[in-house]
Parts: sequence; structure tokens; C-alpha cells
Amino acid sequence: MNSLKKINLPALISLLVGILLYEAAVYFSWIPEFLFPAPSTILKTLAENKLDFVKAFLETLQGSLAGLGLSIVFGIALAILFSLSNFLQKAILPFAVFFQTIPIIAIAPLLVIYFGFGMPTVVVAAFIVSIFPIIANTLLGLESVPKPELELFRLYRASPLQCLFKLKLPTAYPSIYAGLKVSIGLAIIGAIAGEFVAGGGLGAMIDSARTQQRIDIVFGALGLLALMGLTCLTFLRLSHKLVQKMRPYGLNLKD
Amino acid sequence: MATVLELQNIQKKFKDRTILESVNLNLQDGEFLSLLGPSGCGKSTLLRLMAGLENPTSGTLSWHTAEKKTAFVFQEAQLLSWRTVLENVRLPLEIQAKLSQKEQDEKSHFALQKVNLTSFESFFPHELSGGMKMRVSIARALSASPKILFMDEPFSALDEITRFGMQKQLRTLCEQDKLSVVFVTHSSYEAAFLADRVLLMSAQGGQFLLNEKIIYSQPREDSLRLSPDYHSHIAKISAKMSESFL
Repeated sequence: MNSLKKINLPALISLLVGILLYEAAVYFSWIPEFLFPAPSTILKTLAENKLDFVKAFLETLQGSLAGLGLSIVFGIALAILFSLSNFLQKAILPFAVFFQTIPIIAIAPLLVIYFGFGMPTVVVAAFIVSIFPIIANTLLGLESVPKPELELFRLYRASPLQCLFKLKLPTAYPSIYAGLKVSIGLAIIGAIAGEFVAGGGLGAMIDSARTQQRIDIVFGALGLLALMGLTCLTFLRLSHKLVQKMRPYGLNLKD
Repeated sequence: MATVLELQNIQKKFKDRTILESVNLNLQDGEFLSLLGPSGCGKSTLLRLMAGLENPTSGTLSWHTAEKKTAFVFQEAQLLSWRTVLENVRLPLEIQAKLSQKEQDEKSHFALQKVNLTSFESFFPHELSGGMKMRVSIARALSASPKILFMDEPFSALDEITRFGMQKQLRTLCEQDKLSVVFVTHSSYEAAFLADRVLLMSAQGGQFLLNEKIIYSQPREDSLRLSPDYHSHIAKISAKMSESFL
């Protein structure tokens, strides 16, 4: 496929060189192995605990995506509401801005109290951190419709709903996509923060490995988290390309 | 000829600035009227008032038709990038939602036929040239069969060859469909080629300096651009222009 050809070769080279250097540094004892396990050790740990890692990976992925899904539904709905009512926007949006400045890691303990141990807390944590970029970007997109296009719809006496679905939402698509790109990463952060306190997934795995001084497990989990973020982003980008191919929304915005 | 739209003592202010001061104007049925003037003279504002996009500060605007079937063509084509050519042209019909999907498509197809673009129906706007985009924009304006067409410098962004072709095509279309047109432009050559009547506006206050009826002894083809008829009209307009603006 086309995207395979476009793999960033320099980045791939520096990644490989970095891993080799790291491996060598541990092998020649330039850095202490008990603090920085070698890549080969991490791979071995991953292989040995394959089932645990896969289970934890899937749990975290599930929590992140569930939170992100809620963010998409509620974020877009709220943005539409705000774009229709200036009053609601002024009444609610400042608090949303304020709320998102509180670190999720500080809110997480509260969430455990309200939602208990396990998945619900994780989903809510992922939801809380990932909704704001979607609200903000969708709102920006909905309000960026060029004036002549709005006037065109006015001249045709389009109803507010027709205006929303035939003009505003399609115009907002590139902004919504930009918001999604940010939110996907944030949802994973939120899920991990939730798992630290509520258990389950890679978050809990990292936490318990920390108490047992199993740094190799921590590194393995981190590698998997990076992989998760990358996979989600790639999936999003490919879907975006597919959408653009069928319906060229906002062509002036790249990727 | 019957009057379709009548403006009486129209005044328009933006904050403290008076753009139009007591404008009186009649648009006749089937007439091609051109509003000519320098940038900032208020010709676009006047057009937007007539189209209902702005409200006058004072004065009356009366329609003498049973139903107000109008369409507006902007300076830019203003096509929706995510809709194909046919879907863009269908937009007004879709919003009206009076016809079945099939009838809407047929009417849109017919409108595209008028601007010779039927073979581009499934293209997206970014795949078209500037002139083609403007033709789609005109087809969209025509798709809901308007009686009056308002146009705000629609050809000003096009190259000369394309512009000449579009002018000819527009004039033919308007005659076929018996449209009344109000066409804003800053080119006396464009105004004199297209219009039955040219109204020259003053730089300030929106007064009409000249109300020039344009009559030719030959059809409006490219050869007209070389004819003495055409040039005598332009000379008259230019004289009035330089008299008032220099």
C-alpha cells in the first residue's frame, strides 16, 4: 500500500541505532542493568509473560476506546449545543476549560470512590481527559463556516437542522479530525491514570511491577503503550484518508 | 414591461457611515440591469439589499410578483467541497424538499446542461478550473428555476478568455429563461456587453450618475466587442466616470 512506501526511513534508522546502542551500553555495563534492562531482556520478559501482557493491553485499549467513544458522542453533541446557543456556551464552556486544567491523576482517586474499582473508573478517566479537545475543535469547526455559504443557506431558507447537517458539520469535519488526533493520545493517558488507582490493564501492571522492582515489566508495558498509541493514530489516519477519498472535506487542511 | 422590484428612498447605514442615501430603482421584468461603480461605492450593498441579505435602514422595497423566486451568485463560486458537481447543483432543490430525489436529479442535470457541464457531474469542485466552478455556481443558481438572478462580480476572478466566454453564455441563458438579472461589476466593458441598462454609481452615497440604455443593432456575440455601437456606449460611460471620479 501507499502508506508503506512512505514509512519514515530516517526515523526507522535512528530507532534501530538507538536500540543497538542501548543494548551495547548495557552489555558493556556502561549503565546499570538493574535500572535499565536491555532491550533483549525486555523482549524476553514480554515473551515470557505474553498472556498477561496481551490481556492487560486489551483491557487498557478497551478502556481508552470506550472513553474516547463517549467523548466523541458527548463532545460533538455539546459543541453543537454550544454553537446553537450562545448562552449555554457562555454558561458552561468556561467551566469545561477550568475543569480540564485539573490533572487527571489528581481526580482519579475521587473517581474510584464514585465508580469503584475496575473498568468504569478507567472509562470515566479516559472520557474526562479526552472530551475537551473534541468540544473545542468541533466548536471551532462549526463556527468557521464562510459567511457567503451561510448566506447561501439563508437565501434558500434552510432550516437550522439542514444548515447543521448539510453545511456546518461537513465544514467542521477537518477540525473534528484534528481534535480526534489529540484526544486519542489523551484517552490512553486517562485510562492509565484510571488504572493506577482502580486496577486492571497496563496501568495496574506498571504499578505492581514498580512495587516489586520489576523494571523490565515496566519497560515492556511502556513499549506496549507506545505501540497502542501508534496503532490507534495510524488507524485514525487511514480512516481519514479513506473518508477524504470519498468526500473531500475541507481540502485546504492537510492530513 | 412590468416592474418586478421597486426600491423607494432606500437608505443604508453601517453604524454612522451612510453607504446609500435615498436610492430609487425599478427592475423591469426580463431586464438585464448592470450596477457599475468603483470599489466601495455601495453597489454590492445595494445588490444584497435587493436580494434580502441586508435590511435597509429606511425606505421601502416592494415586490410586484406573485412569488419571489430569486437566486444569488457570489464573487467566488462557493461550492461545497464535499459535494460532487451534481450534488452542489441539487442543493437548493434538496433544501426546498418539494420534489422527489429523481426529479431533483433531473432538474439539476438540466441546469448543468445549460452550462455545458453534464460530463463533469460526478467531479468534486477541487478537480475543476475556476471558470468551471463558476459555471457550476450558476447552474446551482438556475436549478430551482428562479425568475430573478442577483450576481455580485461573478467573473472578476476569471481570466479574460474565460470571462468573455462566460459573459456570452450568461447573456444567452438569461434570454432563454427570460430572467431578470441584477449584475454588479466594476468593468464598464463587461457592463456594456451584458446589460440592457447600465446604472453608474457615484463613489459615495450611492447616487446614480448615469442611466444608460444599451441597444445594439447586432446580437451579443464576440464580434460585438469590436463594433462602434459597443464603443460609443463605453465612451459615454467612461466620460461620465472620469468626470466624476478625477
